[in-house]
Amino acid sequence: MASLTALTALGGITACDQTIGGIRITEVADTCLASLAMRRGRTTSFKRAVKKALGTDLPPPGRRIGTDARGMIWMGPDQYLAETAPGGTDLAGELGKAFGTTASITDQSDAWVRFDITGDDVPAMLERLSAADTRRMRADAAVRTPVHHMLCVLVCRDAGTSFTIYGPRASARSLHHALTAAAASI
Amino acid sequence: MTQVNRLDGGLIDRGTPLDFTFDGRRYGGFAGDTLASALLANGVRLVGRSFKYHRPRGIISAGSEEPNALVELREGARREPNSRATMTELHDGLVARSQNRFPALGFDLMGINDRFSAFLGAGFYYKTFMWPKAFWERVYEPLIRRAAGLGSLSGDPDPDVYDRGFRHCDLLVIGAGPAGLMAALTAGRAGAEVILVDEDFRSGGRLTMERETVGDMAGADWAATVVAELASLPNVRVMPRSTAIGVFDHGIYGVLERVADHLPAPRAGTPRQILWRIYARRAILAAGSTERLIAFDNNDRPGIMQAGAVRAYVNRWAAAPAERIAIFTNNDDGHRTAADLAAAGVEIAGIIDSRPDAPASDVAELFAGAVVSNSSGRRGIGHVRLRLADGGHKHLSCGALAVSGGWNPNVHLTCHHRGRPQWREDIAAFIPGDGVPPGLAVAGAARGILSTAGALADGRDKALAQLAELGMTAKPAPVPEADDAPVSIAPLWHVGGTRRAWLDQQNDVTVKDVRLAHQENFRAVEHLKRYTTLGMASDQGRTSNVLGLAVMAELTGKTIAETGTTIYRPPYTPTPIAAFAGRSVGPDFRPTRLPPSHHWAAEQGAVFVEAGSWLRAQWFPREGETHWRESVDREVLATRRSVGVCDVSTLGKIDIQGGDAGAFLDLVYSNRFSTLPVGRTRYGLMLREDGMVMDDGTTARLGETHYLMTTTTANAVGVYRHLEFVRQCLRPDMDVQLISATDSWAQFAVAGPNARRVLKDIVDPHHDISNEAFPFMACGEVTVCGGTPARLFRISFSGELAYEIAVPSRYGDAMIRALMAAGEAYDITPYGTEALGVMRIEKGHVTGNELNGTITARNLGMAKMVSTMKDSIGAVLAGREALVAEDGLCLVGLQAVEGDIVTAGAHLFAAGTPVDPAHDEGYVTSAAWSPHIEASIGLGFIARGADRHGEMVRLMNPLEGRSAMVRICSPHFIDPEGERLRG
Repeated sequence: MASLTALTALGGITACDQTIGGIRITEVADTCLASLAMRRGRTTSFKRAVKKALGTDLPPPGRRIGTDARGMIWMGPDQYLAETAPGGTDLAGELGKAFGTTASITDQSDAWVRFDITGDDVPAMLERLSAADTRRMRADAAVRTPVHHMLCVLVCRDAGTSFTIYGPRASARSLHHALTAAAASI
Repeated sequence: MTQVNRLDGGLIDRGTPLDFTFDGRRYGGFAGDTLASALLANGVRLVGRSFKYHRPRGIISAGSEEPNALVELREGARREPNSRATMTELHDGLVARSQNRFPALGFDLMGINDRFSAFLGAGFYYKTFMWPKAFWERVYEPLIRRAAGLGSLSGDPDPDVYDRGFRHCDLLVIGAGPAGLMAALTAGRAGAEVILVDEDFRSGGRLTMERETVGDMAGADWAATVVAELASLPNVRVMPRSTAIGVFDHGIYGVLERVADHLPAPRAGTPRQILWRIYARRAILAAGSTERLIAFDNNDRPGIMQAGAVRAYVNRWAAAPAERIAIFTNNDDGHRTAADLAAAGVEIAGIIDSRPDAPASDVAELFAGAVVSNSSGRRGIGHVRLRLADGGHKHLSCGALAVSGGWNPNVHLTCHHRGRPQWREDIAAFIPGDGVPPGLAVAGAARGILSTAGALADGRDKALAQLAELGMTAKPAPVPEADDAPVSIAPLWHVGGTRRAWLDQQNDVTVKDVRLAHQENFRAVEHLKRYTTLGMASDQGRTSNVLGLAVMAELTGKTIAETGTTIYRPPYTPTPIAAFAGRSVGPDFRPTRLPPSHHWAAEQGAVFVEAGSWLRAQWFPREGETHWRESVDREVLATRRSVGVCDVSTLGKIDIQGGDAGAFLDLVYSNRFSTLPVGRTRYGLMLREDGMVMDDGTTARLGETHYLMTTTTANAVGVYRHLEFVRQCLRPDMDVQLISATDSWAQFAVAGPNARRVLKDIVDPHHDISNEAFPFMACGEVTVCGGTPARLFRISFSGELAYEIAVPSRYGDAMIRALMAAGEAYDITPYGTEALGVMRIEKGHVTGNELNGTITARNLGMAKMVSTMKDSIGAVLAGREALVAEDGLCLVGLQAVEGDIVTAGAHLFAAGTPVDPAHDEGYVTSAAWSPHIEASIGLGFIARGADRHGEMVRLMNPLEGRSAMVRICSPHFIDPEGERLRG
């Protein structure tokens, strides 16, 4: 049997890349994601493992911490979303080894669709979609925010000009429609 | 058409002439005009007919408080009724029509209502249209709707889009008059994030409408200078054409921005309006004030206007409401109007000042201590009748009457949290009282500071105070010099007369109606409002409420303060439902979830159905099939005969990990999971606390501390929420972590006698999936198609030998194609949710139809699954006496005989018993045509069902007028021993 070909969340062989006015909306299909939930009572060893595996401290609520290549986003009490830069491989497997029994790790690479949104008008576009105060978000600010009833994660890459939005993968088309409609409406 | 009443000057752009039509006639105007100002400039006074009596009506105001000048704008699908001419910015080609008249505005047959006014007073509907009852809906309502009302909708879908949006700021300033501009300037210069909203398209508020100076500039110029500075500050956003419609909790303000209402049509893709939710740390209400009228007989004739509005039209729009204008006032403001009219060269018929000590006027004849007692004129005012101080009478001819009864601060937003305004005697008006929403300060005229100089200083001071509360310091800007005249008013609410004197012109409420309400004991303000409809029109009584309750106060002998006001509620001005809906309309009403095989299914021509937010393939029609059941029967038979495949990715998948994961599952499921071996799957029943079944599904043990729960598609979110509640609130001591894995995996059911053969081509050969190595209810991680990681579950919903194979979602599309290719030799058939449903009914598997919230494990015949050896949620209450009664409902199969059909929702009665609730024995939950046994079958619940297999009962479906005889049988129509799925 021939090997399986992956499709992007929007159903393409290649990721969708669109520019509307001054806003570029890029589907990013090859980010690795994993959820990291601390096992109960393992705070010290969990923090140590985070430091070792990702080179960072734990992010506080509303924040991402990490480098361009690796980062962790606060998702809830003792719960984080680890992300790689585009092109990462088997993050969950790697973290599983590093964290052992200090964390419950679940691969989330296929749970989310990622859109990177760049351009000077991005805050004007995002304010049509999300209650998050995107104008004041600095780089590595990260919030969970509903967008048209879809629970998304919004990460600021560069203040005012570059954001990533993670949304539920099965709703990729609806989310993409919401993003393009908002970009066209400003 | 010449603009006969156009004056010199004004803030209009004479270089940009505009054409528009009103009731089919062409008129001219200029950029900067409103529809109202352009109509006045063209000498049009009659613009509408009143709601109830169809009285001729004209423009009263120059703002959003307008009760009369409501028109239909635009044509076709963009037609919009009940638009205020005073708020409608003129654009070239604007089409406007009057409304609520037949056949024409000038000749309205419904004007007959006015002749019968004696019979149409307050409470008339309630007293008159009582009998016969059958006439209520068929005769009276259509009649009333025809006779009374406003504009009409086009009936076509709105072609425009509307947005919702969210903005944040340190300080929200509502109103860009002198107080608002000073507040925004102070905060803006201090570096605070400021949003300044104003409903007008030109900032400045009354400064754009008065002939006065601020500093050394004309007021309007000063406003323009300030707005220019604000626009240059990156931390300030000026939002014209934006109305703050409501104050909500936690500093959230609703603001409607009319982005494109002033254009013929919005730019493609852009919204007509945006409903903003503004999160403001602090806010300042600088909404100004609204001028009151004075009630007198026939005071609703076109041409009778607020004195301040007359001034506004003359000063800002260079449009005189008439060539000769009389002024009726009880305060100094009327004299201001006189001065402005004189300066503009408009003839003044006289100043009727009700105060005996009225200040002298050097611009017109003054009638001190006199009142206007009546008006006359056809379709517009021609004369006013004065009652002079000495008791004599006099007639004055005039084309308009400017009336000033004093100014009401616009306190509305301060009342949105049930704040009650306070009466201030010296200005005879209500000002904001207790209960102003937290974080909101009121500045300027909105709190009764009715001079420009006072408003400027107050705006600045309020901004400083608000910033100080935020810990921000600001330099107090110097307040420019401006008019600072004190208020001098002698309250006069209505002039006694014998005819009707209007209070609420939009809802046609008169002084007489208030008297009647008083006489009939509807004296409390809220009763008065509802009995007479005073203040219940779309203007929320902004020009009428205070008048109405002043009249009531007179009648009851109470003070106005004691009489109090009704509650103002959002929205401040009418707001289209479309703006609330935003983009959530039509197919975008809510987001859609697409299973990973969606694109492939669409290629196959599948028919889709919404299942929750998922779009699932319902069946896959083939050429020549003309009825859905042909497709479904074929899919079912082909699956049972050979092999079928179905996308089941939509089932909820919850990843459960942690040292206490097993114990956690023992708690949330009625049966035990901690003993489940790794590599095995078990069916689980989840109960609510009250013992009713919440959901069911299978849970697989993937590792010592790792389980994967499957929920029904519809309950996925609810179950996840329930598990989180248990984890966080009931058992925070447990080491258990949850995360949804629903979207992560593309999962396919491969069912039928040839399922294993197909999967052998898919699963990489080093995995042994033989019956011995991978028996029924086994699960495990495998690789497929040369190394793609996958999970394989041997579970069966159809009752056949079946597997569910899951791959990461990105491979879902490739997986279904691979399965179809591998199954080609076995004539593999994709099946949809209909065939899935038929097969599960044939097998007797329950779903949401059966798990309807009133069903216990015992009803399902699964009482033994509620373990008594451990504690689990719902176990205790499932043992309640009534729930364990021997004669309780029991899940059964039902089979129709002799061509009858089983219908879901029907109720069951023992043969020969009466059909009434007392003899109702149960009901049908699911029904299908079974191609397998070639009969209409169903599942349902009936009392003592387990003991009644073989009995014939009556099925009654009164909703559809059906009845049938059905035989009770085992719910397992096929393979009751379960041999197929273990094969």
